[in-house]
Amino acid sequence: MRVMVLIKATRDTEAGIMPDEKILTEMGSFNEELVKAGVLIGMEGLHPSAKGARVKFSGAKRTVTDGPSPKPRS
Amino acid sequence: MRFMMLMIPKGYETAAPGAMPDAKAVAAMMKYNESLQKAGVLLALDGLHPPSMGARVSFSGGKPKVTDGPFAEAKEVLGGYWMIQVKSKEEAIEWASRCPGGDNEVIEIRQVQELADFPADIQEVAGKFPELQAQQRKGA
Repeated sequence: MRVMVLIKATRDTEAGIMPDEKILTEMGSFNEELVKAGVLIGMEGLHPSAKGARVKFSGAKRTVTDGPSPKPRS
Repeated sequence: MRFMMLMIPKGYETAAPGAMPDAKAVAAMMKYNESLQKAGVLLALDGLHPPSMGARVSFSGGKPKVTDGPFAEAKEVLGGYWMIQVKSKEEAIEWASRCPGGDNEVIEIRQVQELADFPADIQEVAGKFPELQAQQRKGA
């Protein structure tokens, strides 16, 4: 079975604050472990929602709202 | 540039395990998916089982804690996604607008981070993990 592992946005990721080198290196090692175990199919990071948009559907009508998305909730 | 179109169906946060959309909605969605494919913009797409079949791992205090779904606090959950390759955010919005979405549905459009989007120091750290970059190139 395939499983999608979703990492929720935080205040930092939404603000576009980059992780420091220590966290990046730890995360890199973790990701590499996934590759070596042969379980990783794909992984991506997303730009903050402030750079995104939302499309809402109402019958044939479409409403586009620019980001940011509603505040991240637990 | 790559974008993820994230499908957020209202109500899916409380859907029972094994919940499926109705056949008519699936047929309309298949046609839409086919149009993405024919236009050459579709890289990947998947639907996700409801959160009642999932779990959450939180890391408070550095200790992983597992909670089984559904999650009472979740107001919005992901039902599925498309990964598309387009020339602009406007084009991504245009494609999302063509989706046969229902009144309870919202599509969030988010640009995928490419290595080139990061500052030099972060690219340097990424360079220490060549296997990861090969894996990402496979997906790109």
